[in-house]
Amino acid sequence: MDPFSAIETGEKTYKFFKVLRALPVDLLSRLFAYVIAPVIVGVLSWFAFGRPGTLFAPEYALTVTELASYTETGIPQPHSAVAMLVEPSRYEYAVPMEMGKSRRLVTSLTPDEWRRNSDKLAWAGSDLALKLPLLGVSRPIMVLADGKVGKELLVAGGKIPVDRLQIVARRSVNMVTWAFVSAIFGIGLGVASDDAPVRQNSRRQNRRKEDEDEIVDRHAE
Amino acid sequence: MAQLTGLFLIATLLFVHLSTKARPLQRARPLDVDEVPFPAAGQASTVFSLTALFGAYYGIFLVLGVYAVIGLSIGSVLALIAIRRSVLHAAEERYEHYLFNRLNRLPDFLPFLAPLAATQLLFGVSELLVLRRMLAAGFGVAEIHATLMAICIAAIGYLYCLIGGYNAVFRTDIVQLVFILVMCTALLVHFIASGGQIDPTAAAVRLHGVHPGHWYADVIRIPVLQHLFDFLVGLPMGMTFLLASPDTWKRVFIVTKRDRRPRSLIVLIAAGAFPFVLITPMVLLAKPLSPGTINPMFILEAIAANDALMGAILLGLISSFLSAFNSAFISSLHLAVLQVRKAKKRKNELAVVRFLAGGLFVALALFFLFLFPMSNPYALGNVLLGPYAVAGATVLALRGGNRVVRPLFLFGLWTVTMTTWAVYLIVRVNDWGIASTHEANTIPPGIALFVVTLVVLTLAGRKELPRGSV
Repeated sequence: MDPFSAIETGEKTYKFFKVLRALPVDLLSRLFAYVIAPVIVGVLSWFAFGRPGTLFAPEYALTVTELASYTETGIPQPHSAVAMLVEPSRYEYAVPMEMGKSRRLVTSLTPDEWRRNSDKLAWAGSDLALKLPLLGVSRPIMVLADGKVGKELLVAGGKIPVDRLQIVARRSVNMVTWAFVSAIFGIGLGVASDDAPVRQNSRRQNRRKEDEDEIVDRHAE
Repeated sequence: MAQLTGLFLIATLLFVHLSTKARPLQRARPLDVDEVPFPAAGQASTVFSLTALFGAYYGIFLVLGVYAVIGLSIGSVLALIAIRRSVLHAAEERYEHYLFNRLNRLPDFLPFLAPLAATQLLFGVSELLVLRRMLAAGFGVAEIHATLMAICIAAIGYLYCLIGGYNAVFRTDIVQLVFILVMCTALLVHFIASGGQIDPTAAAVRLHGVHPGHWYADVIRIPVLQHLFDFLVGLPMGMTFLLASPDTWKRVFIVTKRDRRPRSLIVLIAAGAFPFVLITPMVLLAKPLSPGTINPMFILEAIAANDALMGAILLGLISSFLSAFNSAFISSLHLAVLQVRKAKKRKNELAVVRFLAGGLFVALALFFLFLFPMSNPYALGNVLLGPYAVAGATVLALRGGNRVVRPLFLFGLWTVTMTTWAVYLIVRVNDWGIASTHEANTIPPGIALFVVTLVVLTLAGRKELPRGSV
């Protein structure tokens, strides 16, 4: 951030706090408890996790899982292959691979579909090239390839660590989504519930004043 | 299971909302609420925490055996009796007056309230750490999702306290207790139905209190003395947990004020001992533990096959978490409110409560996000043994506010004891990341801290402070 932007941001922040300070204490406290504090916690979590895009659903239209073993005789043997779940999107990926036993690719595309997209899903040297969307295919597809996937995938203008493309259990996503929805629901409910005593008090302000004074006096004793 | 969790959380929030509609928080003293249902039931529910009952107490039963647990339960009951005596001795009709007037004898609340509030807050963080680990290890939730889910559930607990104050906490405690009972029953039925049998060797070890591999087992050779030592170790631990929990003071106050007859004492004793009785079958059914590294989530991982059972357990664990977390959170909030009131009395305290609650929630989340990479979720619980020992001894030595000491002296005592405890932990505990049966070895030094604090404060305590003291 350059110094001028920093000064500008500082000034905006100062004005924001000035606006906040001008609010009635009751409203400000409600704003802090129901909005600012949860947002601060959300932002802290955002920094702590470091990869917020993958919290509820995949950030990219590609999920990568390494296939580490196989068996033909009932005895598990080490294996080096990769399974990719490719969802419909507009992305181009190059997946660097350390070549395996064969250059065989297996997909859930029909032979006809693949023939029409032969330039969009193919080996390009040691990379597996994916150019999405595929013509005439609007469903997610599965791709299996022999070999060990590299640590990063190449996309236009950058690289994506393969760690961020790992498969996530649906139960896990469902559970966190429900908990998140419940928390948001709770905040909404809290703001709505907490409004009641404020209104009630503003109507009964005069009548209550005496009671409050009495309580304060009692504690002072 | 996910939908079930969501529905449970939303239903509980609606329950809080409806009960708050009927009894909104008062602007003048929002936390001055004694008109709550079944406080004794909530007492049992508070002990049913992931850190205490399903962590430390369960672990002590497995590792140290029955004599330590008898000590724990008798300690809990003695703490309830001590608080009851203090309540009966005071002539106050409202809990908040009782607490404020007792504290008001001190020139400054801070050296007394700040460590107590911090201990409660850290207890809440420990609950979060254990919940997160349970979600990840027992329910197949990805680590990152488990962390976020724990924060979301904590946010719901925070909102309970904010919307409904003590009313919401006490009312939801009853619902949560029901879910915890369902969980314990489901677990027991599962073990019996799946042919789970009591391992006679493991049961004998636990019932006879034999625990090879622990330093004092080798020092004390005579079995009877070893049992006595286990009992004496458990006793103060049970006492300190309740003595240092302002939530317990409030529950005992309400139970005692409603019924001054000895019958109320029996209710409290039953509520205090009930959780220990309930975990006994689960302890006896558990497989033998060899000294050394353990997997603290072994029960959850063993039952992962049954969806209905998993649902019951998940709701039970979330209930257990919410119950303990809310109690700890509202206790620290109440103490902070009293500290603010000491500095300046306000006619509208609702705004103060909201500001403090928001601030405490942010602080709690900060601690949690700082500590969540720790692989042993019970490490913080182990660390908290020290603060609980000192806080419990302080309450006991000062007779719940009947005696006073100089605030500076108390501050110095906290500094010295906590530094000693920190040095001990750094020197003695080799690997914080690994859950081990040897974590039980930190209990006796914790108890030593309790005894030293108790003796020092008993000697230093006075009926009244000398004039001019600060």
